[in-house]
Amino acid sequence: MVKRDSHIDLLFRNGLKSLEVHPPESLWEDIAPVLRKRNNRGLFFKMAAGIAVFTSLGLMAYFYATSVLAGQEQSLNLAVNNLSTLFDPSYIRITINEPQQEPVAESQAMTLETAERTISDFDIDMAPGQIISLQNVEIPYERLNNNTLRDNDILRSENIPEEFPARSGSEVLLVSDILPVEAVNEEKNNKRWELGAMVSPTYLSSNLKTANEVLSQVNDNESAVLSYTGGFSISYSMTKRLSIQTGIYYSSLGREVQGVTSYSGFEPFASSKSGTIFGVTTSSGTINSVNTDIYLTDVAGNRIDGYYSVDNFDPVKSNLIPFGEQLRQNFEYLEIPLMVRYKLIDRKLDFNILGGMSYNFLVGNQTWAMNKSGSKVLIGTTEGIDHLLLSSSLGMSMQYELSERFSLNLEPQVRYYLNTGGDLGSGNPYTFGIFSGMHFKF
Amino acid sequence: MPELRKILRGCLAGNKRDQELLYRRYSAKLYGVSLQYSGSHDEARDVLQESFIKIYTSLHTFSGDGSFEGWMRRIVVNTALEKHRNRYYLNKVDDLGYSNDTLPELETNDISGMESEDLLNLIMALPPQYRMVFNLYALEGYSHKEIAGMLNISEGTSKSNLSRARAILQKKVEIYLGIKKRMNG
Repeated sequence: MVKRDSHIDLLFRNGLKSLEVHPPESLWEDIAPVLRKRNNRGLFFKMAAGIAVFTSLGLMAYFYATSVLAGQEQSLNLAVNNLSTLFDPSYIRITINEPQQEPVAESQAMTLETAERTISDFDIDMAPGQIISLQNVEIPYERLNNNTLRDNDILRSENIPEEFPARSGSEVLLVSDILPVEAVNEEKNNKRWELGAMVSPTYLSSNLKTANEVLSQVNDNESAVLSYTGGFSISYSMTKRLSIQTGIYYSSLGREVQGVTSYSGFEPFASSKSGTIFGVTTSSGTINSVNTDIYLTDVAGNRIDGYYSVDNFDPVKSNLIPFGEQLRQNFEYLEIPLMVRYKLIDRKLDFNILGGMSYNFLVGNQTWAMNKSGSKVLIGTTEGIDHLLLSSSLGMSMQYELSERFSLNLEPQVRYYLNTGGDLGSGNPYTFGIFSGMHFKF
Repeated sequence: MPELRKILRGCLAGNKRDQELLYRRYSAKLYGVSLQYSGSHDEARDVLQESFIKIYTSLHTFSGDGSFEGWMRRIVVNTALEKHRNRYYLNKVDDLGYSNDTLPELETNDISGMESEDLLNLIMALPPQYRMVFNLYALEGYSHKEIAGMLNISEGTSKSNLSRARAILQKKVEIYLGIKKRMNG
């Protein structure tokens, strides 16, 4: 006789230890779609987040632009000192004050150097009838004869057109006084659009962070290959310095998987099989090899899962022909970016910073068996990678003006992918590229 | 049969084939666990479905230390507990009026031949609260203090529930054995 309590516990513990009951067959059919749905839901949230960021950036840019313009319009009040009191007789000196403020005394006038620097901080869009308002700045004009008015232009007294109103005392100078209406309108709307064609070598890297030993081994046997990106961009200048840019780019990104040996001539042995012959685990997903002529074996680890292995099939004894020692994964994406570009330096060689986000749509997915001579055989695709990637970009741009309409561009950019694209672990891939190309203003 | 490690790698990469292989390998075992904590096959099916989704989505958190099967079993048990807690708040039952005072003790030899399916049916027929406490204490090895925390009950209630669960099970085993004896002649 045993103690009743422990007895009944033991009875059930031992009796149920090896209990196995097969669930209804339909249960897996219920689980699989949920897994796919969850992946899609993640995709939906990423898309929603991306759209939200795009919209926010667009609104910020819009409000920034409108507030700058509004600020300019509000303060368009220019008091022109008597032209006869030129600080330098070879220049027209214009002292500008806030409304209700006293004119600045001649002794307080700024040097030309200071004035040029100061005026470059303003973003002037002069329209007919508007009154120029700049504070304590000498406005140098030079090109009045061409009916253009630009920052840093110098107006020498001898170049003043005859029709320039000869005013005296503290008066208001209207832009329409010195520029024809048509010319001003044209200037305002001139060359706000910019079309670009760019191409870049691209280096893909995946900063895989994982504590899992197996995943680390997988990652250690992979390396990025130099790829390329190219496409067209179109940008619109919201202000003189701020512009938004979109376009379409094609990217071809690749990774090399080392230590997987391939043999050809497997067809007679695999002819009865269909679908995936070998599955190779990689950090980007599982390569599903469907090429029945290629036998794969992993010499660097244990990454291959298949119906055939070295345990039940010897490729050498079966007289298969060694082909190569590595696999190449290639992913092709179409990228639609939304970037904001800000001009830091506005000279013949402009310098800009740019940042934004992009949607990358997977349009191509191939895996090849490779050999050292560069020959390759298509074996299948990589399963488990995201079909839509969201990336953030940050870069700089140097733009050299070849003419009024054409310019050369050089843009180093880093792109960080917000989703992993199917990588194991928590590492997000990133790319580095140096875009070069030509831009056309219109 | 492919190695577990390979299957897990494939599951981590989102490979559908490996996800199914993992399911095929462990679903029978885990369905058994799920049934132990459920009152019906429908309920157990829901628990197992939810558990496998959790297993796939949190696979990256499995460190590799310890048994993978034990890790999955804990997920199934926790899922069953969650479902029970949700139900229990709506329909709280502490005392169903069973008593163990007059139950005879069982002989070891009598019950050694009981099939696991019979034992499972007896557990499934327990009131949910008793079933939970009995499973956690007798099969999983938790203490009353731990069970009290898991089920949001007092330790006294846990002890009382266990005692009553044992009494019910013992009585049903007696009945089962009686029927078996009569059938054998």
